[in-house]
Amino acid sequence: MLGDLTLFKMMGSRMEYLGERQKLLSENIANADTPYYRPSDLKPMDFQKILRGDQRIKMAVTDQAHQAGLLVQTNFKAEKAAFGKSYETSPNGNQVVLEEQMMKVADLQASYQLATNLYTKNVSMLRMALGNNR
Amino acid sequence: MDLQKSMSVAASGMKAQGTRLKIVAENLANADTIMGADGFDPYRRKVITFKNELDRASGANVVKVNPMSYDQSDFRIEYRPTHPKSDPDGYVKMPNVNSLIEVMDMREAQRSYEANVTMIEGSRNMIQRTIDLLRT
Repeated sequence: MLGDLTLFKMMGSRMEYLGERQKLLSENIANADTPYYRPSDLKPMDFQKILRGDQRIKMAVTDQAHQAGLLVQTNFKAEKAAFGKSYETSPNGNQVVLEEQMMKVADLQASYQLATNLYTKNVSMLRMALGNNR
Repeated sequence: MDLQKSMSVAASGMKAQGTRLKIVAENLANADTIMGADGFDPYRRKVITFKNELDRASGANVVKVNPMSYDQSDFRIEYRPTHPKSDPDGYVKMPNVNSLIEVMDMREAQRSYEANVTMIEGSRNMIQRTIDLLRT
């Protein structure tokens, strides 16, 4: 229902993306003292890709014994920071900079708030159009 | 759900840092223990190391603590001729604990712990906001 509307679909995938990114950032922060750990982050969201939708081609299943194969479920690609290419590398080979990660987290939180607020706004606009707004 | 996973990752980080604080406390408490556990050498400084491990249940990179190792550096030597454990020349071997290093280690652990707490708070906020969508 609501999920079929492009705007809601976009908000949904945006929130999914931010959730996934939050997971990666907390991995980075938890491993801030692990030797030789390289932080990873998600690639920025591609607006055009979302607009086009998921266009991966699946194999046709013509027999019951056929298996479609496992499609990787995650739509977002994580990438590790290149070796020696980060802001700072500590003597134990760890490349996590806490301040940098915290900045990313703050940014992410704001984006998440934006997404949820837009979602709320859209719902209330739909309500208004339906006319059962008190 | 990713947000819950992010909380469990942060919790593993907090656990690792907590273990580290415990080791720091042990080292500091035993900074003057001349008779160690083997009854021969003085207390040897314990060293904690972290490793990154994939938690198969959640698919996240959590932090684990490696088996405990010992600092193999030389013991401190002090001149105390009256001490019962002194050698014929009057020297006593003291633990290889440097309290300055330990305190620095403690500060670092504290800082990382706080960062993990912030992460958990952030994830919790995000979950709360998602639940609040139901109220509209």
